[in-house]
Amino acid sequence: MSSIEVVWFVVVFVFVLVALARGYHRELGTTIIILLAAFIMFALTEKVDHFVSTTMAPYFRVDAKSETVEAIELLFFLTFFLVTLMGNYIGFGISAGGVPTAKGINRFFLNVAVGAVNGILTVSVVWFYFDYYHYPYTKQARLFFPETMSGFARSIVHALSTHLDVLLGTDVTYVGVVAALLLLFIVIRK
Amino acid sequence: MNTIGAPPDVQASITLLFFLLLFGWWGIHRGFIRELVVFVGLIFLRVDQGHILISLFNWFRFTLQLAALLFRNRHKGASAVFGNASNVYKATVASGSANNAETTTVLLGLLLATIVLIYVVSGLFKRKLPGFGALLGALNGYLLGSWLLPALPHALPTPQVISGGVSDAANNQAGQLLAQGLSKTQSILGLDPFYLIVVVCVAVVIWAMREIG
Repeated sequence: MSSIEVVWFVVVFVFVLVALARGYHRELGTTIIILLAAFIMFALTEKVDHFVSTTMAPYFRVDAKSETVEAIELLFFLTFFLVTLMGNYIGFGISAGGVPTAKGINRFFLNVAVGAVNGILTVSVVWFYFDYYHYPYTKQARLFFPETMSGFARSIVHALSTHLDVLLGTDVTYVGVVAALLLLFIVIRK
Repeated sequence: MNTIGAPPDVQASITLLFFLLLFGWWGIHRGFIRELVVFVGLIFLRVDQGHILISLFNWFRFTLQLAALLFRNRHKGASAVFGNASNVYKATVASGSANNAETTTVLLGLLLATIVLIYVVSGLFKRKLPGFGALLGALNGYLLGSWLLPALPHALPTPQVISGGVSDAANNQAGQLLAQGLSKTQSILGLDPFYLIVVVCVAVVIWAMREIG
């Protein structure tokens, strides 16, 4: 197991701990927020890429395909995602309301499972963007060397590249999926 | 957005997601034990690759013929019904075409009837553990989806239906054709671990939504 996998497993573990503290009824709101944020990001990716490479790059006189441009784009999306996520945690997100009815082992399992789902979603989105922008400046900072990724990590990245941008992609049908999910959520709550 | 490798069918993915939601929701109401019975049944069908279905269908046909013989002299009406059923089947076999629509319909109907039967039998068991039922229900939905959904946009591969009296080699060929059809549906949606993770995540979310008062 390479260092990047350890980091991501730790992140998922932290999400599980947060879910154990907050409860799955609050964490479900986070799940919806992550899905919506991911959808917005995926829908905007090509537009942001186009804007940065055609408008900002010439202005600052840097190559449109340089590492700096990719780092700026990555920073933009990571900032958007993390601000949205943190905004949800400090009270600006969607809340399921109500109280958890599961008890005992079921409640514990649900807290852990929903936390893990949120952690996996977050890690997947962040990792996808790092990979999409080719891990800018991570080598210079001696943080991460993509060549050292294990087979398992490569398979995860490959799965994210081939599936995530289709499931969360710019295809308009995804709007329907998110809408249906939210609708189902609201219907069940009522 | 660029994709590395071949992207899966978006329509199939979206439809599969709704399939999982539906079956996960159903699993909550049916409970873990019932879904476990269905799961075992579906796994058996998948492992067997349809050999038992073909054998059972052949036996059913023999029964029809036998019944037709028995009733022929006494009840003309019954004879006509059974005789017609047998004739339709004979025509299907005689054509021997892999693209025969009747053969496809018969096999697909047979598969659906078996799945319905499995669900009916599972209903005899008690409803317990609704949360875990959602997990297993979504997994059953995934198994069924990977079988049946590709049959909607794509032409279903059509194996030959073998009647009694045909050689073992031909019977094996029919089994292989059905197996190829099933493996093709597998490759379209794929038994990719990614989808299994999606299944589990969706089931967890459904269960958690259910457990909020």
